[in-house]
Amino acid sequence: MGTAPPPGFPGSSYSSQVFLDVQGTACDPTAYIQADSFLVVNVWSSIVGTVNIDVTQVDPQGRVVPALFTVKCTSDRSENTLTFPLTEGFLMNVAAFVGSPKQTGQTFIQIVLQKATGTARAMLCQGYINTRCWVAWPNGRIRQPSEGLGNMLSVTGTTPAAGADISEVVPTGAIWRLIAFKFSLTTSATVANRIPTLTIDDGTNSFFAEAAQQPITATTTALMNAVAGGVLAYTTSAGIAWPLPANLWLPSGFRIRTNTAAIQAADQYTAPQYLVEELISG
Amino acid sequence: MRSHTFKCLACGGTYTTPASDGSIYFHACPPLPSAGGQPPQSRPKARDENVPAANPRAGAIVAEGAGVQCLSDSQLSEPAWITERKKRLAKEFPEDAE
Repeated sequence: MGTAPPPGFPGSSYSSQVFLDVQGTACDPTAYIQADSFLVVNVWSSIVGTVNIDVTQVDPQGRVVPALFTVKCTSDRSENTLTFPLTEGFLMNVAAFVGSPKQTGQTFIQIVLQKATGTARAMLCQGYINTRCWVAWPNGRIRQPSEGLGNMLSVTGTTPAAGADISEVVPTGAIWRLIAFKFSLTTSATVANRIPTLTIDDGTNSFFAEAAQQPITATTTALMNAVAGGVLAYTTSAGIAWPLPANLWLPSGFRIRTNTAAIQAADQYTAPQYLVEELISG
Repeated sequence: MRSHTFKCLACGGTYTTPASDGSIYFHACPPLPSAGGQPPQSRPKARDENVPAANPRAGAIVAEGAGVQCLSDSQLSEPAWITERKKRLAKEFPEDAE
């Protein structure tokens, strides 16, 4: 049996008053760690930050060996992986917590136990972490990325060029529940009846396309709102409202856009402001 | 983390990233207008700043397109450089901010 942590094990041991007799101990076999085992930590995040991993083991001499290490996560929702070597002994607990403020739905973490000599893996825990919610083993959950409340995200989109339509894309690695979408169109003096159609597509083919109830005439600023559970409406002050399908979850690559009949070269849309509930896709 | 405003040289759209909460905005050009129920046609030299889904570490963005111009800092005008910055933005931490 090895008595010292393998190289790279950044643990720190306090001088203990209590030593555990681990020889011949009957315990949960998932808690026994061979010297060639690793913790694999995968993190997906929509915001930069650090995730702290707290590990406690008992080595063959019965000493409690705590360790703390950090994973830096990028904000592009791609996978960030850290492999952490364990010492032989018993795994007592693993906990992941954030080092900077985060909302739920922003950072998803998965902690896996892996044998270096094979492909055998054991899932220990996974879920979203935030300032008040840790992910831990034992007694933690194995949560799916699509479970629970997501991150409420208010996004300012692209201001299109004059004469161009709005188009917003669900970014890679995210799924969005579209709640509200607000924008306005200022029309030029060119006489024409512009009819915006709010369109949602899968990147190619639309599955929702609803035209405004009234056309927008020249030299007008029309304020347009689309909201989940709303109604199709038009007001005398050039306000246009669209209903959005309830619980409209959109995966990566899906688009929310306008398609405006008779749009003129000098017509100008503002940048859309929209509210979505975001989860990491998976 | 300092935000910058960019103008897409393919579609002419302008946008600011990152947002005040640190989230990155991924611009993608709108398709060309469609009529008569036809599927929209993609824009020539369209830009798509999203991370490639199949291999997120292979490249910075899906399509460089015609590039972008930085409106908030005239020194940042070379498209490839901005793409590199976009890639780096995803890894910047508050303590590393410009």
